[in-house]
Amino acid sequence: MVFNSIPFLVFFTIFFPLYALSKGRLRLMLCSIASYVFYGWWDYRFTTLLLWSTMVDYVVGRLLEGARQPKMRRALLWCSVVSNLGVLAVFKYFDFFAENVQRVAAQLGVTVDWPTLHLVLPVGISFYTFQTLSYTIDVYRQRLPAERDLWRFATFVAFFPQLVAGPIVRAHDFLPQLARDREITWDGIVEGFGLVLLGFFKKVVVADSVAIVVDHFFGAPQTYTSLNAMIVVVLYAFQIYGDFSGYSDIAIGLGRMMGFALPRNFQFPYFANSFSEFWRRWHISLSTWLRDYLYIPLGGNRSGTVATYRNLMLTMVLGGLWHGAHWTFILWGTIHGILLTLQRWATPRTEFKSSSQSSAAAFLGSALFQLGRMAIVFVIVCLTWVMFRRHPVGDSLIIYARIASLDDFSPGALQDRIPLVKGCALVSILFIGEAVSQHANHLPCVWHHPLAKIMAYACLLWSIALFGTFAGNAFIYFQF
Amino acid sequence: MHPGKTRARIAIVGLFLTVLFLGDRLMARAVDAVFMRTKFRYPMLYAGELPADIVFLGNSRALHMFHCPAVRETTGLRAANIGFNGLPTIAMAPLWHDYLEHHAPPALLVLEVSCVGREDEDGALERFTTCMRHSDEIASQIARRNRLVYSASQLSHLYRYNSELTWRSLFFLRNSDQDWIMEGQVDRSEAEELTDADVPSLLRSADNVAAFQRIIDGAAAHGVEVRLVHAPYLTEYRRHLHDAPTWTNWLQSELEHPILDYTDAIVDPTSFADPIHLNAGGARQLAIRMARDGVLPSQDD
Repeated sequence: MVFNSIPFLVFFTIFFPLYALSKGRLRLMLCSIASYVFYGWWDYRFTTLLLWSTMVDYVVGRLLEGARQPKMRRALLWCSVVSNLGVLAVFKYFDFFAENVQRVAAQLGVTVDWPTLHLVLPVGISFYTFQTLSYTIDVYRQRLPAERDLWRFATFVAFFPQLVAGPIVRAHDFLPQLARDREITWDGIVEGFGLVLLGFFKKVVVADSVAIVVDHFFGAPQTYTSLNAMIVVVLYAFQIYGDFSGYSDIAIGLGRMMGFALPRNFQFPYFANSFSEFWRRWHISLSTWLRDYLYIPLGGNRSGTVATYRNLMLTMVLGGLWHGAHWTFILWGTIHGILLTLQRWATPRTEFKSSSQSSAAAFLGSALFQLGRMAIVFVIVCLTWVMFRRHPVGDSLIIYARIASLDDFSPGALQDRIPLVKGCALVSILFIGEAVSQHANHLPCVWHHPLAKIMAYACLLWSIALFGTFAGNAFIYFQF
Repeated sequence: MHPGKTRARIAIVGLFLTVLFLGDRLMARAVDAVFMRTKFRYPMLYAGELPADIVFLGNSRALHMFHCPAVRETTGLRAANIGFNGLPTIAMAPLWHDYLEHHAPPALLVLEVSCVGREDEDGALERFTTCMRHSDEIASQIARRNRLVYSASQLSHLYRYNSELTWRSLFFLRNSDQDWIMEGQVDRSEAEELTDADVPSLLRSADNVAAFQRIIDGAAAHGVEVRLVHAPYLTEYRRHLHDAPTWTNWLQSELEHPILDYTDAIVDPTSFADPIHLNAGGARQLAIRMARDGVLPSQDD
């Protein structure tokens, strides 16, 4: 079930009053069952995977708590890792590796006849797998007691607002929230509703409107002029952002309405002025997961310069692979790894050093320097998103070639002019909104008045009605 | 909870819903006012600003075959084209009805027939929610065909303007779109690679025939002469449209009205913008040919 669909609207309209009226165990059970209904709406068979993941980590968690011998504890941890990553490997990566092994073998003149499974990728599998895995690792590290209540644990794994595309919640944050009934408050409903509206705005108004132009472009990039390609690549960056951060906003908003605090997943990433800052602002729950469960265990930045670069590269390549079994994702992760490594190497050499005498000139110089960095980071991030599209690597090269050709800058040569103008207008609105929101704390208090909220929410709803694209497009990150 | 607090919250919800509702209605009016000020064909149709001696109707083929400036130049008569890209046949009857309601009947209505053989594109009719305020006929068609969109349009009047038509109209704030036509020339190499699979056969849809019959009957009731034209195709395309002659005969007998076959009237490939649409040069040639054949009247007639 996708958020931007009638079935979800009906589902939540029935679910929420029942949730609000129920208490204690009944509420937990309701939440858990509703999450399975939500997930099973795609394909009821997928729920068995969810149940398997839940049961394995619940049992391993309980056993880990009782186990004292390090060997035994390690064996249990491996049990969970193999089970979780095994499911992921079979459903997500098996065909990719099988095909590539066959291709390499063929190049070497060897025939390898491995079957490919052609399995349908269960939605959100990478998200909940990482979520349950982190629980088991935390219990293993004795940073968290094992959860004894199966219903509570099942709800932690399957909590529907964030089940299929995050934010990835940590057990130590979320399980305590499930330990007692969350209070449904007026403020929570108002704030949550606002976030849901904002999420819908980003998804159906910005991302889905832009998708029309982007899909045409990726279908035949060679027919586009340089200017056209540049514009669409920027729009694509906002499509991905609107789509994914929109989903996160809806998830956090629904959680808030239900009384939960889900972690923030985006923090104005396109205003980052370095690549490391971009990753602190983009898909924060995954970035921090990779940092805590991969980068730091690999040694982080504690083992010397070369090892730090190696760890960065490994983390980003695997982060790329997490997104999908496709060479473009691996390349995308690799490029970001290289960018982070280069930045780490170059940072001490490129800091802005003011030699001006007046403080105003120093401020201006620093501001321009930051703005320049922001623009460079944004442009490079946009260019790397081209790889993010699941298409042959050669297609990305065609797009880069079109952009680099600088062949035609006449507005008359732009394709899909109406959706292009609409997309640019809506992206500009989002961009300005984000720029203002970045400084929300500095806004005059009139903005926090209930009347201002009423107007803001009404504006979002009017925009959705007037500009929304209601084709029921799935969220991009569902495929991961 | 304190009763005062509850009352305040109920008041806030009430205020929110009131603002939402009033804002929706007011802004819809404002958007409609902008829409109606444009020189796009449908606002002009509903404002009664498209008086014509010859009216053309159909989907994109009519739009790019019957180019009003070329027709005016050739015949010396006023021409209006109320066709549109992907215009569903079922939406044509209401548009024609609305045209007659807002204008004096023209002398001639030219219908391009290939739209009868096409399945309606998804959402093609729904684009016309923009015209719902001005056309009960369009509104009832949408209500019949897509209950969800109709209900959403009733709930939010702003939603009615969430359509390509609204955005396109903004391109014609000052200049009329009646001279709108595709530019450029068809890619010959691509055209030569066309196969039977690239050329969809013409469908035999009872609904579309009924819609066409309504248009013809409506025209007859107002004393408007109707000419049905099967417009040109690029030779390489036409070669794969095997059922065109039999389909034309079938439609002719269904409508009991002659169809003028112009499918091979233009053979020069440079006259085509793509395999099924003429460019400005091609449209001029077609207008001259149709005037010469007496299909289009001249000022002297």
